[in-house]
Amino acid sequence: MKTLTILIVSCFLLTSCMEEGKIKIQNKVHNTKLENISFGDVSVYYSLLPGETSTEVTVSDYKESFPKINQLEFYMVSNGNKVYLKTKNKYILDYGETLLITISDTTEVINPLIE
Amino acid sequence: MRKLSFVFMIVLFIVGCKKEDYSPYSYSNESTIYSDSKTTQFREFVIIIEPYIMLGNEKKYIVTDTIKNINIKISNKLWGIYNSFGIDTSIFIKEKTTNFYLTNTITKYSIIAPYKTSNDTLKTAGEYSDLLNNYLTLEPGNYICQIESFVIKQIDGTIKKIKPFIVVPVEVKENTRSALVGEFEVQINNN
Repeated sequence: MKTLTILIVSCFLLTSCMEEGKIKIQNKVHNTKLENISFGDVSVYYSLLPGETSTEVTVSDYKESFPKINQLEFYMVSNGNKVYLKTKNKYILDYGETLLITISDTTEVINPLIE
Repeated sequence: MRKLSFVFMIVLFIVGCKKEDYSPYSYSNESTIYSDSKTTQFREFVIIIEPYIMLGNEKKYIVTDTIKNINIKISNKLWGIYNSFGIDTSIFIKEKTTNFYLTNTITKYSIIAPYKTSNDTLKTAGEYSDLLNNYLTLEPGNYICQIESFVIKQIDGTIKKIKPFIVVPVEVKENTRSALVGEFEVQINNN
């Protein structure tokens, strides 16, 4: 009985330390797909057509690791050509929040190969 | 001897710190694009320019190491700005009767012209989208090629800007990597 109580309390403590934030990505870049989109070490979405918005992706982690501050990384794909880019800005995701990131024609990006 | 070693070490250190302009790890925007297409895609135009001057009734061809800033438009859109391949000017028998070195042999300046972005540094997702959509992607068909201008260095070091009136149709065929626009003799005014 004592063991069971310890186990339940431990589980409760562990669960209570975890928090969640949500991310949505919107692609507003003309004629171009965004693929393999990631926010830090979290893979957010595989592929977004122009005009498409992703479903909410939940990021779970320990409370202490929030807020997460990262650039968005993705491949831009068009006509069979592909380039790896990062956003210049960093985005902040805090727990309990839903972060909507819109990538549009005017979004400033960095190409790590020519940085 | 010790002093000499010290000076040598300092020189070595300074040379070692010199920043190279031609780093093998510097890339153009175009070279960061990856394509996994298995088919042959159109990539570049090939052009030859032969500049000459009329001396009396005789054509004399200009000898210079390279022609620069060749501005090319395809169907009225800027395709890129290029330099010709360098040539070995020592192989020509030259005369210096004008502000150019001249020869009786035809001098051919070759240009390979893949699509180039007008911006050296792309900053936005929209600019990269334009690059991806234009890179390697002229569909088979007929286009108008226009060589708007180029510059040649004269003997006294000044630059002469030439505006040749070259407007020609060019065909991009299916499954070809390049298209020959043509060889063009361009008369340069001798003044």
